[in-house]
Amino acid sequence: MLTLLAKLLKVLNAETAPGQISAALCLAMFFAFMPLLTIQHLLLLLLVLVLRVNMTGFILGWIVFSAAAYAADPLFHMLGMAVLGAGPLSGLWTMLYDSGFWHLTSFNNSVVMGGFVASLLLAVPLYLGSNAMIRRYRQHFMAWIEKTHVAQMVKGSRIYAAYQKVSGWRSFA
Amino acid sequence: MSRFIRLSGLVVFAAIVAVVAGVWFLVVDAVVKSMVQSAGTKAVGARVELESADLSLLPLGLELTGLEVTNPEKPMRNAVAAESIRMKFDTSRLIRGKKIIEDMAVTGMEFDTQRESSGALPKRKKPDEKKVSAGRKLRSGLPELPSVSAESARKILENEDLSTVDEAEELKSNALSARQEFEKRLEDLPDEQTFRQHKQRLSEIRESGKSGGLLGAAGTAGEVRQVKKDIQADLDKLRRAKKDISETKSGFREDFRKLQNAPARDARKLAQKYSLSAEGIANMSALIFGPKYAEGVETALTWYMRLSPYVSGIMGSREDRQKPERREGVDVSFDTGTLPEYWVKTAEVSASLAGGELSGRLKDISSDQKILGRPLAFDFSATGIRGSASLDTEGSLDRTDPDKSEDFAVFELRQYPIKNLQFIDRDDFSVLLESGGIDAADGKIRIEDGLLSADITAGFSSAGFEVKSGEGGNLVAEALADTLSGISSFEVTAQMEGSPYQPEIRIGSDIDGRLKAGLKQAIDRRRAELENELKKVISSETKEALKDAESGITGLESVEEQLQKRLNTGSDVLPG
Repeated sequence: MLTLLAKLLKVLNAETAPGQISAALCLAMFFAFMPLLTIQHLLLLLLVLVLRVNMTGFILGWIVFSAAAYAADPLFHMLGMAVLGAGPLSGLWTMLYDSGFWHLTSFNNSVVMGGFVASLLLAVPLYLGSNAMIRRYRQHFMAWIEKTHVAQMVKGSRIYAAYQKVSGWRSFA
Repeated sequence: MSRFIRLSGLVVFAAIVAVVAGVWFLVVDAVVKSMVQSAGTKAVGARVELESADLSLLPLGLELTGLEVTNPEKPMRNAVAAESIRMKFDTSRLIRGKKIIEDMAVTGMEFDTQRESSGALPKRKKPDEKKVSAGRKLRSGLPELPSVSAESARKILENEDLSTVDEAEELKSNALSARQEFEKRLEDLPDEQTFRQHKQRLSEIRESGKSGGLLGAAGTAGEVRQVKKDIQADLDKLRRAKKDISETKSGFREDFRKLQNAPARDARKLAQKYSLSAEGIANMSALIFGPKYAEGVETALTWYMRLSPYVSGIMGSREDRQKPERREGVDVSFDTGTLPEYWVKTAEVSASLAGGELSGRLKDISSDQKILGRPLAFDFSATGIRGSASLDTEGSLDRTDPDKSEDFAVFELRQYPIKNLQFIDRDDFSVLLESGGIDAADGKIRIEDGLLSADITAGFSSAGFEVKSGEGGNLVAEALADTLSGISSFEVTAQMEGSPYQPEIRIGSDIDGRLKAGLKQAIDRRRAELENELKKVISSETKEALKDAESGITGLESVEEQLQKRLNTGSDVLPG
């Protein structure tokens, strides 16, 4: 069972170009910023699995952005209330509210809407920023980091060896 | 294309969706069960339990079985239990967020059933609710049922100061000071010595007159007149003093006569103080029936206040909450339609009620009556309650106008048998309706804009009361036992108004007059007995004080006697 799971992750993690990692982080942000289980989570999961994005990046990103979303919850609530209360959009919201499908997105929930709008606003900067950071890291810092004691210790561990087998992270280097 | 797409992901996605759907299918019943239990427990403030929940997909419906709602006031009893609650959802509307239940059927409903284990919450998680306290207000409006055990006269006198004693002491002291005053005055008044001197002077004048010839005799007559005048003046002084002392004495005698009546006056005053007054028994119906009635009203109103927000849809949406839970947010409503968030069109209910069968229906239970435009309406009827009684009730909870709420219910109860209904249960006094029945009870209850008004009349017949008093006897109990033994049918009326949390309750009865008359008679009898007893005890306790007061007056008599003696002496000396 574990071998099967490892193989599955290995296949999924084959894509390690900076853009693929950044795209995974962006999807993770959308996934984490909207708290309730909605139909868009299903769509995001489909995108993560079907698009060639880095799975490990997605999982790590999901964990980090979930923690960030918990901290930023009051902001999302305020942002969501502001968007849902915006006069010019009321016609759109009313139309969506009357539709069965859009109810499944919980768009009228303040935190879902706030998280979604925040993700939309941050998606492009996050994509471009993380792309640039990954490139810089690979060019300037990776060789140096790999020589450090901590990195050596980590690389010598059995956990890392197991991870190497399944992860596309190694192409990071 | 394959640079961006991995088709294997589709398979993984399908597998994940299938696994999630499978797990959901397996656990959905448990999740629904848990949700119902959790929401119910939060609403009631005590454990709400469900044996099972079964969500069916085609057609979409839910069946809850073995519902038990703990009575928060009595955790070992269920307020309500139901064998099964079945409901069918309108699927197309459910997707649009509208929980429309076409039919609901509640069967095997029972009230006040025994629980196997306590349904109290570990930390007594009661919902924040304002407490209904009909009883406190009713009781505060009634005169306190006095302590009616017969106190002994001696015990009463231990705690009371008697005016008889004070008055006797005052009389004695006044008589004593008067006597001292008169004794002092007596010292300055002519005494026997004075009169002896007058007599001596007269003798001397007469002796000198015998030897003085005719001229001497004329001079003697003049001197004798002078002495006579002096004697007369002294006698006048004594007479004035005697008159004064006589007046003072008669004044004291009058006071003493009054003092002799003081024990009776004290006894009357104390008997009045220690007896139940007729004013205190002005509303005996409320005293007897009030506590039990208030208990029933409290229970009914508590459940009404607890449940009405849920059944009439005034609980407020999550949008209304000031502080949403973290990661939950609030759902903003953009509803412009004609359907509320939830709507139970018809709920058929069948229940067991005290051995009888109750059936009826609730119509239009909705989360927003304003949108629906219909109030919640109910009508129930029951037969065979306690073997013979029937009950019909109907009413509505109307919140269709958000600025005006109006709830009302009417009921008719017929031929309801009663056995061992405890009206008053105190250590020193209890009233039990051993047997009897309600021939007819009719009630109209309305709560309009948060103000309650209710009018309930109940006619009792074949009533048999048992009135008991604790050790030491109880006058009210004895009097009530006498009066109630002669009463077999009566009518009790109750009116309520004001806040449902603390309503004003007025209770009256057609036996009020009889109860009052019976009690008054007993009270008067008891008062007379107590008065006589007190009179005897006070008389014996104040005997010495009265004697002392009288001795003070007697002391004045000795002064008077001395005066009389001086007057007699003076009169004897006075020449004719």
